[in-house]
Amino acid sequence: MDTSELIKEAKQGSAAAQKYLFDLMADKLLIVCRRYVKRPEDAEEIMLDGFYKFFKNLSSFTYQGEAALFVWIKKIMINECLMFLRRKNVFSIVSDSDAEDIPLEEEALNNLSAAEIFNLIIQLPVGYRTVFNLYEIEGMGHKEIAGLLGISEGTSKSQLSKSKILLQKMLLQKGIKYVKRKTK
Amino acid sequence: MSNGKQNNYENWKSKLDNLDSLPGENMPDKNEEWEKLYARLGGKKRSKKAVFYWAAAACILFALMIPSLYFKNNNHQLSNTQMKKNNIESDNYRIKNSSNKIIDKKDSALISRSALSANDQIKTEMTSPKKIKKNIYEKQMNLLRLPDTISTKNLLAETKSNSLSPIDTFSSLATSIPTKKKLKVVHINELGDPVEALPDIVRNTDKHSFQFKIASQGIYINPTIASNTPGVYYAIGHSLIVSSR
Repeated sequence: MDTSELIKEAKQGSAAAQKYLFDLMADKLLIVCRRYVKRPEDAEEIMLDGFYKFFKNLSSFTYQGEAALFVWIKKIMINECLMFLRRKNVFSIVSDSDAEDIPLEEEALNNLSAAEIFNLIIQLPVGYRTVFNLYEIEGMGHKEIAGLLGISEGTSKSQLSKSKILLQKMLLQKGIKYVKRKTK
Repeated sequence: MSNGKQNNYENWKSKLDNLDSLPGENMPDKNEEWEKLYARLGGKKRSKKAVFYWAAAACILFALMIPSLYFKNNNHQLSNTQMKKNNIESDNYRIKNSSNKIIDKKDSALISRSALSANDQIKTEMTSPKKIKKNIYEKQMNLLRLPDTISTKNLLAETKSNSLSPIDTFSSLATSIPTKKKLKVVHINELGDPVEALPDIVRNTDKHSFQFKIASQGIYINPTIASNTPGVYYAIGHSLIVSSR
């Protein structure tokens, strides 16, 4: 069935269409939620909350293609994750310090598989992880991130640089392990 | 160089976007997740469960309440109806019995004796005027009164035999039979003449007069003053005001 038709039916309250849309996007959106929230149970709950909001606000959505639909629902999910983290008061403990502009080792990341990249990201502390996700993956600016998380721009920058430093270390460790494994 | 970096960046990012399953973890059951979501959306599945549980709870409660309510109502109704029935039956029975007993031999003898004695009395008092007649009539009526003819022993036996109603049957019987009031017989001549018009002095004193004050000045309304002319008379201070009705 066409996605536009599914959206139409889902707007009319068709449970079958809604379930179809849910089945179509649930896995990917759960992974998105897991990138922000480490605990699987929390991520599942957030995903359900996101879908709930999606279906409730579907009437205001105008279908412009599958990509736009996914972007919209992904944005809902990210907002839900950020709300969850803000509720947990995660960002109040983030310290404001001088930020260094450290380049991301993209080549090293590129050599890794999707699962390895995912594991590296979720190992980052919550503040680092959130800013890294928003800046590097979602492509947001520091101002926007600061507004979303309720922190200063400087804090956002410092969190990003720290996350990159940590990732480098992790990549190095991974590289060492990889070399050790190869030499054996 | 920058293009290459962009490509690399997009590469690892697109890799992440294309990730379909969580590494080292099982994806949660979609159907279960959907059921949860559907319930939140106000769907039927959860509500069915909830309705079922509520219905079951209601049934259990109802089942528990039915016997207690039934017995309570039954007892109440039974007691009420039995009370009423017993009252009616006992009253009927008593009336029948009492009427029968009047015709009983003993009672009939009593009546005949009393009648005879009454006749004797009448004969002896025949010489006296109307008052004697009245006395005889009263005596006869007293003899014929029902409660006097029924013996208390019989009544007690009846109440004992009636196991259903522990009611004071005697009192109920007494209330059921209308009591006769003796009225004083007054001759029309004894009533005297109709009331004539009272003298003016009496009438005036019977009429009400009152006093009230307005702004510390006394106002009097005295109909005695106004006996001759119609209107209300107000005495304010030293002046007299007359207002026509």
